[in-house]
This record gives sequence, structure tokens and C-alpha cells, in this order.
Amino acid sequence: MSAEKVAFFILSGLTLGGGLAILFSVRLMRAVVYLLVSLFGVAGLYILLNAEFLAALQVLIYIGGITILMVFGLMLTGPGQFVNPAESRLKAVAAGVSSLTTAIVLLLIVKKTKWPAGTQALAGDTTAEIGRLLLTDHVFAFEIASVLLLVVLVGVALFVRLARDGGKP
Amino acid sequence: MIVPSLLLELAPVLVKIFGAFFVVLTLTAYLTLAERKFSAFIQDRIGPNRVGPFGLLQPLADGIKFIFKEDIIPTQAHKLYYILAPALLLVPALMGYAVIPFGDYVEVAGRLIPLQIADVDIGILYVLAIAGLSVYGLFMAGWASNNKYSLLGGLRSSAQMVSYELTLGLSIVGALLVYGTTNLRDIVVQQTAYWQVGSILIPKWGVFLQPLGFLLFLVSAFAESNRLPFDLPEAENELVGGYHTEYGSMKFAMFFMGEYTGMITMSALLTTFFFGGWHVPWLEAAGLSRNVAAILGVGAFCAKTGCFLFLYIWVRWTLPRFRYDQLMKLSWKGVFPLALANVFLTGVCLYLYSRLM
Repeated sequence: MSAEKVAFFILSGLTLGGGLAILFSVRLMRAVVYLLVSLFGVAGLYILLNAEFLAALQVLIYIGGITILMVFGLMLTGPGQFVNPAESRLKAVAAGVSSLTTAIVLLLIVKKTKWPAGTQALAGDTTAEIGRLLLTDHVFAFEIASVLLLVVLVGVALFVRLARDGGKP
Repeated sequence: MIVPSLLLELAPVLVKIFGAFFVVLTLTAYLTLAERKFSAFIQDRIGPNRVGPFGLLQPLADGIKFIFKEDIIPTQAHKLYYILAPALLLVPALMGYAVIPFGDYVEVAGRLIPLQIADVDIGILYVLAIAGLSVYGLFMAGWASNNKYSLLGGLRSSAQMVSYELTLGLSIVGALLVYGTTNLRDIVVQQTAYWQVGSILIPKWGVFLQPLGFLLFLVSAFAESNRLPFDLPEAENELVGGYHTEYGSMKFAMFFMGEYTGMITMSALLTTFFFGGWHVPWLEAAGLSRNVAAILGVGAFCAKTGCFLFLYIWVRWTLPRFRYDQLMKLSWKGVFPLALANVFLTGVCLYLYSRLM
């Protein structure tokens, strides 16, 4: 087995193992730490695919940003205030149905899409090429994502304002 | 003959890694002494002068003392995270050096060896990503200690680091636009060029191209390394010691080392982005051989980094601490909009420049 394959199995093991550990951990703080493991695994897989730019962004945004925000929220609210899904049967059923639907949709997307896969690594600096593609071929998706984030931002500001003014907008 | 050629490949890399480790860790130790000496000077005291000549062996004595102290773990602490936290702070701080070029090429036995551990294309992003990781050490320490002061320190640190990581990244976007690359070595090489004003040559250092970006990066770098006036995560007179309240012996020393190593990383980055890295202005005219020039360059890099380290210490013993809301206001209402404006202005200027020239 080549070194690349060994690395691949270790990294995908980290990714999937981390994901499973999140599912089976009851304490939220531990789940966050397992999430870190999983995200690091994905970053490693990107490096294995010669996509250093994506790997750096994965660490910068997901590990250094989003997970920190989760931790921040967790520290502010405390682990005791969350509902244990096992307590309520209705919630467990609802969670099961929604995750099954999501899984089916994702599987269908993966199956049906014709992935433009290449076996050759892009030569040299991928950063410039990604930037060019984002602002030319994929500018629509890029803008949709920015609009979505803007909507979320405005929505959060509105919610905070509602809570502060005692429910009156 | 595979093994010898592999060794020949690996030897310079290993030498560079061990060299960088040795220099950085020694510098970290002596930075604590420098801090105490300078603070003494600023406050008109003498400072440590008992161990060795001028107190020069003080860091060694401190290290030995730390190692021989009893290692206490609070009974209610989360053991694994409690032990992991100091390492999680120190390791990212050390990892940052992997991509920082500390000198030009040297020629050894007919081979050109770059004075940099890893020359990666995404240097800037790597550095930013690694800098963001150190916050996990702080939050984990705060969480695992099971102490309200520690938790508050960890909470403050995660909010502060997320806010200032953003401005740290945004403030170098202007510089990125000017250089057009994320490779740190390319950035330094571009800064070795000159403008000709009359008969005077002015080096094209980043600080002249991006004065506002430099200032914003400096402020964010201070906040990222949790130094005064931004040392709210530890704030000893309101939080006892913040995230490291419950830590003792060598674990406490590791937090300390993490802080000082982070300072050295940030100083090295400031040098690389805005002060020409290893570049010694007007040295090219002297016509020195490659190796001599490279070694002088390493000296220049260290000297520039040292200046920023001095600035760190100077500021710490001069300015009082921010209040927490002031800190957040400065980040989101001060530095962030200015950094955006800097990006916009740089873009407009570059466009006009490319049109006119």
C-alpha cells in the first residue's frame, strides 16, 4: 500500500470516526471536540488532493471560526439547558424522518450529478484559478451565498432587537 | 543509493527545523527576561540581576523552578482537556514559523537552500489558519478548569479572538491585492525592489504601500496575542488570572511560552508583510557574495523582528487595559470598517494605476 493510501485511510477514518462520535456523544462540549477532529480530517483530505487553498480555508473558516462560535454559544448557555432527544418520542421520530430525508436527497444528488472529475492535479497555484472561477463561471452561486449570509445577518439583528424590546418590533 | 540521496534531501530541512525551534524557544525564554528588564527600566527599577551576570541566567533558573514545582490538577477539572489545553496553545504558536522566510538562499556544496522551512503557495492563509487555532487552548483551559474566573477568561478570549482574527485577515487583503500572491517568499522578493526619487532609492516595503493596512494589522496582532492593552482573557486584577487561574508548574509555563511565541510569530509576520522581511536596503550596491548577503539578511530579519518585540513590551508597560465593550467596539466599529475601506481604496488605486501606467 502506498503512503498516499495509508494517509487517505487515516484521514477518512478521522473524518468518519469524528462524525460518528458526534452522533453518539451525549455531552455537547465533547461533540464539539469530535467535530474538530472530523473537520481536521477533511482538511487533511484536501491536502491529499493537492487542494491546499481549500484546506487552509477549511481550517480558517470551519475550525477557526464557526466551531469557535459554537463553543462560544455553548459557554454562554451552559450544557444543562438542552433537551435530550431521547426524552421525547415525538422529537426522536421527527429527527429520524428529517435526517432520513436529508440523507436520501444527498445520496440522490451525489448519484445524479455528473462530477467534472479530473485525475490530474492542477499545476501550480490554485488560489488564482479558484478566484477567477468564483467571479466568472460561478458568480451566481457566489452571489446567492452572499445574499443568504446577509439575510441571516439581518435576521439575527432583528431577533436580538425583538428580544431586547420585549417582543415589540 | 536511495538512502544517501534521501538523507541529502532531508538534512537541510531537519537542520532548519531544529534551528528554528532552538532559536524560537531560546528567544521565548529570553523574551521573558527582556520583558522584566524593560519593564524595570520603564518603571525606574533595576529588575532581575541576581542570577548570573546582569541576571542573564534568570530564564534558566525560572525553567528549572517550573519543572520542579508540584503538578496539581484540580479534582473537579476535566482531566484530558485540562492537560491538553497548554499544548493546544503552544503548538499552533510554534507551527506558524514553518512558512515564514527568514532569509534568502544560501549556497551549500553547490546546492541552493532557501532559508525557510516550507515554501508553500498559500503562506498567508496558512499563517492565519494556524493563528486561529490557538484560541482552542484558551477556551479549553477555561472550560476544563471548572472555575468561574477561568470560564470567563475563556469566554472573553473566544469572542476577542474571533473578532480580531477577522480584522487580522481583512487588514492584509490590501497588501495581498498589491503583491498579487499569497506566497510569503514572493511577497518579500517583491519588497526588495526600489522606487527612484531623484537620486535616492526608496525600498518598496509594504509599510509605504499600505500604511493603513500596517496599522490595522498591528492593532489586530496585539489583540490576537492577548497582550496589553488587549489582555482581557487573563486580566489579573478582575479575573485573578483568567484562563490560567488553575494552572501551575510547567503547564503554566507553557501558557506563558505560548503567549511569547505568539508575539514572536506576529512580529515576524509584521516584518515579512510590511518591512521587507530579510531585505537590507541598498545592500545590493555593495556587491557581496550570495552567502554573506543571505547571512546579513537573516540578521536584518532578526533585528526587525526584535524591534517589534520591543514595541510589544513598550506598549504593555505604557498603556492601560481596554474595557471589554471598548475592545469589541474598537474591533467591529473601528478596525473592521477601516480595513474594508482600505481594501476598497487599494482596489481603486490599483485600477487607476493599471489604467494610467
